[in-house]
Parts: sequence; C-alpha cells; structure tokens
Amino acid sequence: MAPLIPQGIINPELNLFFALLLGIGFGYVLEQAGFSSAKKLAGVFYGYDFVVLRVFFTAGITAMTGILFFSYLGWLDMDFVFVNPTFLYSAILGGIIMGFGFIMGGYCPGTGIVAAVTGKTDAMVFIIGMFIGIFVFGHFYQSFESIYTGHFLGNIFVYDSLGMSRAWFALTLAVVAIMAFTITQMIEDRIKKVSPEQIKTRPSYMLPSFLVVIALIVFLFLPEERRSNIREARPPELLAQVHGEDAYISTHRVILEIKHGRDDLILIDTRDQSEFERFSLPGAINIRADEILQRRWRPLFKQDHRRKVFFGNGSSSAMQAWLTAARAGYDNVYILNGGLNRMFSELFVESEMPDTTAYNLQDRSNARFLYEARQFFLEGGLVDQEEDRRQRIKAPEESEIIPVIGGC
Amino acid sequence: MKNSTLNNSAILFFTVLMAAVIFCAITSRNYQISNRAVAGKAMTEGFVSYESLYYDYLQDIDNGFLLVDLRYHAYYEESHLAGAHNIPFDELLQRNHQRKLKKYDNILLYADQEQVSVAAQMLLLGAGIENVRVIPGTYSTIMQYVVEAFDPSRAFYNEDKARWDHQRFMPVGGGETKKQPETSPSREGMDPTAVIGGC
Repeated sequence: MAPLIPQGIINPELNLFFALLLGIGFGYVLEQAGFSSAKKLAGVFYGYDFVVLRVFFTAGITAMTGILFFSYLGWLDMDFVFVNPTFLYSAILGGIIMGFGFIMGGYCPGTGIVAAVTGKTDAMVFIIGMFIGIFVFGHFYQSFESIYTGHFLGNIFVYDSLGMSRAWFALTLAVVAIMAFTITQMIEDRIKKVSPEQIKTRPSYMLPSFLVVIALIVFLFLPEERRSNIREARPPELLAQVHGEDAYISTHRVILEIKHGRDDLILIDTRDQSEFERFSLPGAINIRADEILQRRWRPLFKQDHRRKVFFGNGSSSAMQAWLTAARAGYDNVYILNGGLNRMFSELFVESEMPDTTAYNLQDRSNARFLYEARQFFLEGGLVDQEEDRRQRIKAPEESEIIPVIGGC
Repeated sequence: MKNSTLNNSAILFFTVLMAAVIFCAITSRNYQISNRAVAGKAMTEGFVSYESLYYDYLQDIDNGFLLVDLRYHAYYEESHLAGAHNIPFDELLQRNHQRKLKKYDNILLYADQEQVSVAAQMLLLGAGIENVRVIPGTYSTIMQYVVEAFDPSRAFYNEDKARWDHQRFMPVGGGETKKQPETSPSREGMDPTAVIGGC
C-alpha cells in the first residue's frame, strides 16, 4: 500500500493486513493464469508455452504506461516509489541461481507457494528447498556479504544506462514486447502444431497493443513535467501582490514575535543550510526556494493556518521562495521586508537612542519599541528564554519510502 | 477472459489517460514552464555579477542583449542605464512587452529593489521567456559601483549577503542541525524483513 501509507490515508499498523489481502488476490490471479503448473512455467524454456512471458510482459507494459502517465498527471509521486538499488554482483549471481532453480524446480518463489497451496507435492519440496537456501544464506551472511553488497550502482534506471529518454525507452520496450508476443506465439503454434482454423478462433490482441503504442507515442510529445496545474495562482494575481506590497510583513511584527516568544508566525529561513546552521531566528526552519514544492512540506503550507514568513539576508531568496509558494497556491505566505539585514539595521543602528522628541506619538512609540528590543537582544534575552518558548517545527523525514515487496 | 472484456478494458484505460492529458493541457495555459523548473533556474542562474556586467555588457553595448528598467516611467525619464528599455513592473505581463522580450535571448533586469527584479524574472520565466537574469542591487548601487566607477571590491555585490555578525548582536542557540544523508552503500537501513524479490 505504498502510496497510501506515506500519505497518511491508511494506518501503517494495517500494513500486514492489506499485504494479506493483496497476497490472496495476487495468488488468485497467478492460479487463474495457470501458474500453479510447473509444466506451464517451464514451458517457456522448452518453447511449447510462452504464457509466462506474455503475462509478465503485459503486466509490465500496462504498469509502465500507467506509472508514466500517472506521474505526469501528478496522481503518483515518483519520489514515493521505491527503486530497488542495484548491487551488480548479487544481481548477476542471484539471476543465475534463480534461473537454474526455475528450470530445475519448475517454479519461482511466488508460483511455488501458489502451487503448494493447491496441493502439489513438488511445489512443497521446492518451498522446503527455498527455506533451506534462505537459512544457509542467513547463517553464512558474513561470508556472502562482499558479494551481496558488491559493485553498488545506486538507484539506476535502464534508460539512463542506455542514454535514452524515459519516453523513448518505454515506447521501445512496448514495441519489443509486442514483437516478442507475435514471435513466441508463432514458435508455440509450430511446436504444438496448431491448425490455422484454431488460430482464427483465438482472441485478438490487436486493439490493446495498438492503444498502448498510441498512448506511449503521445507520451513522447508531452513535456518532462506538467507546466502548470489548476491549483496554481495566475501570474497577474502574483504580480499584483508583489506590486501592492501585500506579500510583505514588517520587521517590527517579527521582532515582536521573537522577543515575546510567541508562536503566531512560522519563520522560514530561505538561506543556505550553512548560513542557517550558523545563525537563524528562534524557531525558524530552513527551506530553500527549490525545496518549497517538496511533498514533505505540503502539510505545513496546507494545514497549518498560521502565517508563514520567508526571510533571508535581504529579500531576494525570500522572494524566490514566496513566488514559488504563492504560485503553487499556498495561502498565508509573506516575505520579511528587507530580510535580516534591514531588521538588524533597524534594531542596532537606527535605535541607539529612543527618539523622545518626535512629534508623532506613533514614531515615538516605534522608537521606544525598537530601543527596548535592542537592549533585550543585546543582553542575550533570547538565550535566557526557555528553550521551548518558540517551538521549532520539526522537519519531516526526506521521504517515507516503503520498499515494495514484489515478485511472483 | 472474453475478447470484448479485454478490448473494453483497454479502451477505458486509454480513454481515461487521454482525457486526463487533454484536461491538463487545457488547465495549464497560465504558465509555459513548471514551478519547480522556474525556482531551480532562478536559484542557479538568476544573477549576473557586477564584474560581468561591467566587462561583458556595458563595455560592449551592441552585443545583442536587452537591458530592462523595471522602475516607473518618471524615474526612467529622470535617468537610466544607457540603452535600457523601460517596462514598469506593473506592466510586465502586458502582451506587447512580452512580445518584445521574446525576441531577445539575453535579457538583464534591474529595478529600485532587488527583489522586484527577482519577482519579474520568475514571472517572465513562467511565461516562457528564458535567458532572463537579474542585475543584483538597485539602480543606485549599479550606478555607484559599476557605471560611475567600477569598484572591484563590489564585483560580486548582492543584497542578499549577510551584513551582520548575527550571533554577536542577537545571541541565540544554534540552528537546527540536519543529519547528513548516508553516502556509502549499505543495506542496513532497509527493512530486514523485506524480501525484495522477483521471479
């Protein structure tokens, strides 16, 4: 239930329950496809039955087409999809062992269990052998570790290794699959000596194949990423907010907030991490402009209705963050006008002496406010504050990716 | 499975995907470039340094770039950089201006506030006008440090640089320390019960 658990739609405690349901469904499909028969499975190696190849290629091509379009449309976040890391040595060695096991036993692990459940004795023996293998591997793991973790290549994709674009690779794979279907069907017919009359009465797969190829050709012409979506704010609205100064919040408001340890504003530091670690305003979190759109920050912007204030040293990095957030449709976002540079200069240069002679009472009050704040900060007032007066928002984990336990 | 069931499922799958793609194309006409791409571009190649402005542009005024002054007409009339074209920030999205900007493949923006130039740059990038960069600072700093007399000590001037030793004036506890991601290959972080298999 990979996309639903990290989204908080399904309780992680129920993971195994859903795994059981999915497992039953998967087992049912395998059984219905005839995969509980070792003869059928091994047929692919002897050339008399290629149904395994066709079923898995069909599943792969359908899933690939769905994932490509779903991720483009924003229905599926590829950041949440676990990509199995490649350890080259163990992949090659594991592939060889698996291949031999498949030919000799007639099953792969998933189909072995399905067959054992249907009462096939050879499958039960196969599963016992599998568990002996697991035990041996676990017991002598230390000896195998260098092979198991050997030649780490990271989370690589085939199309990157081939230097192709994702869309071209998908189309090529689909065409290769359709060709493989046709050729294997011809081989199978020749070996089984199927009569032409029987071939004519067989269902035709022309239309689904044609539609998949058309869909993948359309995907070739789509941009890498969607340009925009319906939730995004329109450019004139953003321009009006910047121009009309609605996007800004005053330095006095932020000074008041941190001096009294209030928790009404969420302060977001848009500078680099190194600068943030050296100094930041109390309770601030560090999100750079290019990190705003990460899914992990979405609850902060969408669900927390406090005002979010972006600040940097000046206003430029805060403006980049603000425009990104405001365009994405996040409300209640502001820029600290002038950033830390203006705030410090108001606090520590312009407020050296409170102006008690000013005619305007508002000016006098402002001057006194800044003078008092200056004394408070210089005397280390923030250090003396209890640590939890302004709660720091905890940065969510980078991504909660749950490995997909797959196979047949 | 009946042949008609298979065909109908395939048609349904195909129709849903194509309908969604068409819907997206219709509803995403406000911008030409995605939000993520605009933010990335603005952060990585957003600014032109004063050094580059002085040596690469102002010394060679005819090298095919467009200087855009984003201030109000009145300020522009008073004084502006030589060769600058005036597009006040509030008129930035007007079609005639955008048409003109699209003809240039190297546009430099300045305003009376650095963040206004940044906002203009990001809005133009979103409208599909690429190769737009910001001259840091304001019109007055550009005049002072580049045009009147080039000041090498301000060659990389930027309003977004820290001007204060913050910790000295406002002592607070240290910032949040983030854990560095592990770079060495390891399977230790993976769930030991997860059998990642295939057939």
